[in-house]
Amino acid sequence: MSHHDSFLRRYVFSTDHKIIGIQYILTGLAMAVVGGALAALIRLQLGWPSQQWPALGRLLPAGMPGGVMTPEFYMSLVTMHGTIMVFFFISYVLVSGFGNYLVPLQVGARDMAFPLLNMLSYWIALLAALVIVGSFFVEGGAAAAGWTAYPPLSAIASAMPGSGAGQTLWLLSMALFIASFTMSGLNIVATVFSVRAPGMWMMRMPLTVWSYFISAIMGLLAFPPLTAAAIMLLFDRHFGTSFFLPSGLIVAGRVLEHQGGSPLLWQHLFWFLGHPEVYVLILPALGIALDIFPVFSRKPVFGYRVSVYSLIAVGVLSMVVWGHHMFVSGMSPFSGEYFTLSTMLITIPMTIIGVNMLGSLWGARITLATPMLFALGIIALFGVGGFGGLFLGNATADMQLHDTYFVVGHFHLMIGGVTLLATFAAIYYWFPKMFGRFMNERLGKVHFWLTFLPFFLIFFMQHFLGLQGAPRRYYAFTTYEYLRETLVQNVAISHTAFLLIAGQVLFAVNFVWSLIAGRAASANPWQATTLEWETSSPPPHGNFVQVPIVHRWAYEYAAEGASEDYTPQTVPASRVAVTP
Amino acid sequence: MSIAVAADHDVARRWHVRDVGLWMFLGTIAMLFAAFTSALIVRRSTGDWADVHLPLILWVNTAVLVISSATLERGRRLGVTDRRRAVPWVAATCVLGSLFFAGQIEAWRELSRLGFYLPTTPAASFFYVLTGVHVVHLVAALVCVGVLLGRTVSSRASREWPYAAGAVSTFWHFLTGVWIYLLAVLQAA
Repeated sequence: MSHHDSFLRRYVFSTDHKIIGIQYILTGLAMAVVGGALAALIRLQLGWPSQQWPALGRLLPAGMPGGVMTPEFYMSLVTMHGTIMVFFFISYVLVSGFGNYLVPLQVGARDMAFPLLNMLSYWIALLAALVIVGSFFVEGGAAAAGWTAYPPLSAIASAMPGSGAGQTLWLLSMALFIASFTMSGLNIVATVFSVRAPGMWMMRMPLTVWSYFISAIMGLLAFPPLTAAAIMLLFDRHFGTSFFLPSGLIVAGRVLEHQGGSPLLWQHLFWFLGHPEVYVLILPALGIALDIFPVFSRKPVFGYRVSVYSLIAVGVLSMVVWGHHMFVSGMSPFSGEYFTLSTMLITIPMTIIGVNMLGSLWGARITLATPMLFALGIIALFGVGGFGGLFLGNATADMQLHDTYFVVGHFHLMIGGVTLLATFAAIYYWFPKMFGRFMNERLGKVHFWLTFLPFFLIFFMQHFLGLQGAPRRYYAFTTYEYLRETLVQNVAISHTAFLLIAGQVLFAVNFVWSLIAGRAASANPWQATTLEWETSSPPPHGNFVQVPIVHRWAYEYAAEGASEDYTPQTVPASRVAVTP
Repeated sequence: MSIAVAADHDVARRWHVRDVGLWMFLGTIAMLFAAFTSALIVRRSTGDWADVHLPLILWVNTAVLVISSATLERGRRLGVTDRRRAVPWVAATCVLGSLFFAGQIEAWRELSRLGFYLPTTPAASFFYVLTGVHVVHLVAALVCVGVLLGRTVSSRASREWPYAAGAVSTFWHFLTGVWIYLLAVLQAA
């Protein structure tokens, strides 16, 4: 690409990783609005079941006839909220978006290894997003079998309204998403392996790059089994095969012809992807936090090597723990024991990463700028959410807690909260690099408190709902005597959820306002050490005027003999001694 | 001279990157078929499994595919020194690959003539799905071989030919290996 390219070539059909990264981020944020709107509808129903909302009835006549939500629509909302938030918001913004933007810059490359493939990956991702949103408008509405798409519900087109065209489009969208995510992952791995700047040894790479690298490898290995499962599910749905459908199923009074299939087979294949996917999302969040801490505490990251080894250990172990999602599926107690042990094992490297985060802050002069606040919030949610994971990873406790709101609370704190805070931390931190302007600090800080506190309260409270035995996915708790007393908590959760959503309006205003009129940022406004800050803000096409030469690791803060309290990676040892 | 050496180095580096991408891609294909295989093993244990007699033409197809791998490899080696000598071998690979494709379709027809359709038995379902997914990949590889043939017959000089031939043949040999593995799995099932 050159500076003489047309607007379309430069900013729409671009092969520049930075533009593609921003395209992913904007698409993901737009999808977050959709996912957030679905969450608001879910909370309306759970806080005030069977309440009439005439205005919504006019807006959504099929899902809320007369203004009252139907159970089928509620199932669609839950399914699509999960699907959109996991695959089309967090994956797009945090993994593909910032992965694309940051990895080449931080390793000192001019672009991704395969720029054309990168562009293709974005356009397929956009198509996947359009298909999933479009599925709301087909006959029967969007898919309603949960974001995990368990058969038989997902495999029988006549099971419920969303099981028809909506579920088929869900599968099509997932196929497109996987194709796009695979292309993106191939690019990240090849870029890290082969296009690093001179001197950028693997053990000099920032932890953000490490986390994207490991998460990309995990994605490449874990997604194909879901592809295989999706192909088989499509055949079960449309061509009469019985991979997942057992004998004797009766739908609408008619016995289905399918024979001998195993619904559990889907669960195994889904969770073989599903669990690594959690780490595919959460590792970049941890990498970003570990990179932001040194900048605002003005001291090197604590335990760099151990963090790298822990990230690798998490990557490896995450591939062999999927069965802890299936303790109640009737699996052998010996298998349950194995999955409990392997899950407990993965807490070791995760805890080490957590301790290294705390160690990075120990004795530091901390500046509570907005990115740092969000990064600190990650520690809180990671700690509390991770603690809940200890109960769910243990077969004995999980038998009681499975499919309750304890699980919903846990995974929202981890895969929802940690990644959401990391997304905001990343946006506030790299916004000056991406657009050459700062976001407003005061609005940013208010946004942090209106995000962190409500988010924590909502999902912390849901743990207690789970302990009271409230099952997830129920349309109306008031139907059951033993759950009626939870209504007060649900109303409180719903109010807090609306506060959380309102807080995001501040972010939207800040984002747009700062794009237009934010304070101008220099090349290295945070006085950071990594390579992306060694080029202009925003960086030019090709990223660097000259390919940088790396002389040191990414966390040279408060080095002896340096005139400043930070030493960029490009400063040679002759000027400032390299930390061994 | 030094400029030429630098250019060669750039070409080698670019293709090294592509090799990394290629092997990661092949890794995803391996995981795809590993998932299908484990699904087959689980499904086989559910009690209603009935074996399906594999069509004999599969053995002919296998021989054709193995020979096609050999021709491509021969072409790749000859082409390193003189690209024109690779033309008949790469062309033969195209023909043999197309024959394999046609042979797989004939295998499906034969099975359906025997009354085994996609949903008839779980074994038949797996046969159609596994062979179908393999053929989809093979068609993609065949397109790559076709592009390579175009580059091979082209009169334009290309320092990249050996690398391109290496990447295409790696993909092709990999799919031959996957096919032999699938045949063994289907035979054992």
